Amino acid sequence: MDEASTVTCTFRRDAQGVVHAVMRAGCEMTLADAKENVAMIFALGSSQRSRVLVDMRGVRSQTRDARQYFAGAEAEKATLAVALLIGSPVSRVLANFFLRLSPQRIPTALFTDEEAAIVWLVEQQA
Amino acid sequence: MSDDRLDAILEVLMSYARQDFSPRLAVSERRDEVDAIATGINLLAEELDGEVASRRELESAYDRLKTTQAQLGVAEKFAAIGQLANGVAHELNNPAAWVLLGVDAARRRLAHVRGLLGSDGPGAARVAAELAVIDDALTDAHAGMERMRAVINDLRTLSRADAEVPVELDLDEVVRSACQLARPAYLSVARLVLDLGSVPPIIGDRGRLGQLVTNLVINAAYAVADSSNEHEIAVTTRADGDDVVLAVEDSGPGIPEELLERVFEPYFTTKPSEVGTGLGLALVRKIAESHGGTARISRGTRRGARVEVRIPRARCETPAPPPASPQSVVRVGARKNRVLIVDDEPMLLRALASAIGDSHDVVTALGGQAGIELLAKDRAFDLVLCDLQMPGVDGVAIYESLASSAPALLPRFVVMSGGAVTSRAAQFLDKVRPCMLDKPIDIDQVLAVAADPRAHT
Repeated sequence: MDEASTVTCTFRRDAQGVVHAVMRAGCEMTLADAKENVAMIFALGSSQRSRVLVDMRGVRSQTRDARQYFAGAEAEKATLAVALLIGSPVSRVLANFFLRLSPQRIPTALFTDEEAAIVWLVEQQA
Repeated sequence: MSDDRLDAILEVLMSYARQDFSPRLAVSERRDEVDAIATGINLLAEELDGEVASRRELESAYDRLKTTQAQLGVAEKFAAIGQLANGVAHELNNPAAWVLLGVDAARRRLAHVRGLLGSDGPGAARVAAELAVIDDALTDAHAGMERMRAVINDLRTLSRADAEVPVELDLDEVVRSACQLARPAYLSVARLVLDLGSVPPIIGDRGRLGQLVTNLVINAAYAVADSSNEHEIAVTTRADGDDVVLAVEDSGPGIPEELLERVFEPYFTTKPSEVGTGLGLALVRKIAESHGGTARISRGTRRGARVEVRIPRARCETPAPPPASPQSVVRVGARKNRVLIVDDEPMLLRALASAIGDSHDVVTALGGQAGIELLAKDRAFDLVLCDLQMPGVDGVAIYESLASSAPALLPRFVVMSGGAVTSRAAQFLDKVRPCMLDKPIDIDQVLAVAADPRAHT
């Protein structure tokens, strides 16, 4: 399986093994959505940890428990490194809060350029 | 910092990121660092809120400016078309005038010849039959010229695109003229049904109202153009309380309910871009509103669109003076009136002189300069018929010359005009308001004026 989708995201695994998770425009993410999305990344990675590019430019809001879930142990099981692709004001605020105020269990970085994000992800060691 | 307070800050910041600056952060009694940050964020939000409001006002003003600019552009275009139409009308008027006068003169002479021939003599019946054929041909030519004159007058009506001083006018008359002008647009696609209700007068600008009606009829014609069915465009007028109501309705597919109000927005069009500018109905509403009225669109009884324009009726109705009837004019005295005709068109001079020469002593002057020179030596005229626009010395110059040298002649000075195309001529007509004969000249009118100048000047 190289492609999949949920209510809030679409997923694609590229030739380098990077999972592209694109949040749908206007998506309002809850804990249930967060769980579903992490499970989907895990499935796409064949139950292995993946390098994930999260395109947050379409996000409208995210609940507190959803943020906590993404920063927690369950998400760590599915992800090796996370590049957050930002652009909209909401995505900038959300990503900066996430990056600065959540415990970083895995390498996480902010990008506004998709190519640079993928280069960084590929460089991350397993 | 507790998670709750942090979350509150995040939620508020995300609202701001979504351009909603209304939420504010709670500031506690503790006055700690978080309260200081919250106070700072609240202050910033106040400022941002004010700036966003100012920006929205500016954007709204900019939109209004763009709309006005577009409308000005269209008005400018119409003014240019109007100027061109007025020029064309003026150029057509002179030849039309002499053709009309020539045809009239030929018909009169023909009647005279018939009288001379009588019914006796060899071949009289054959000659009478030939004369009848000639008479029919001249009657047709006359009818054709009358139609041309109507078109020229309609062109002149439409060409008054600049804002005019509002005058009391008959909307039915404007509707007839505009429908005649829009005829090529609807002729092949629909039947025009005019139901004009002899409405009370309104105060308005003839040119702009003509533009309003023309836009509506052309729009209706476009609405039915794609269909192969037989279609109708109905134009009605009626009085309703204090308003005069004009409605234009077509039997086309109509406009979807959700788009009904949008059709009056500038640049909104359902036509392909090469056909519609999206300004036609916007102008209709603008013109209606500038006359203190309204324009609305709805689904009509013919299933298509129905645009209804309401314009307040004139408050004080002044009864129009009864038109002078040529038949009622009685020649004063036995002496023939002496008439001077000044025009720079030799054909028109000749036609006019021929038309009234039997009943009046006619003197002609070819051009304004010749007219001035003649009037310097001879002022014994009962009537001066003078063209308004001539190269060099025009009708205005002759009038001004008479005002200083022979003011007694001014009441007997009649202007002939095919439409004032210069601002000098327009100002003169506006200021002096002389007795006028519109070109192409109606021979009965000329005869009536020449027979009794004092009654008409």
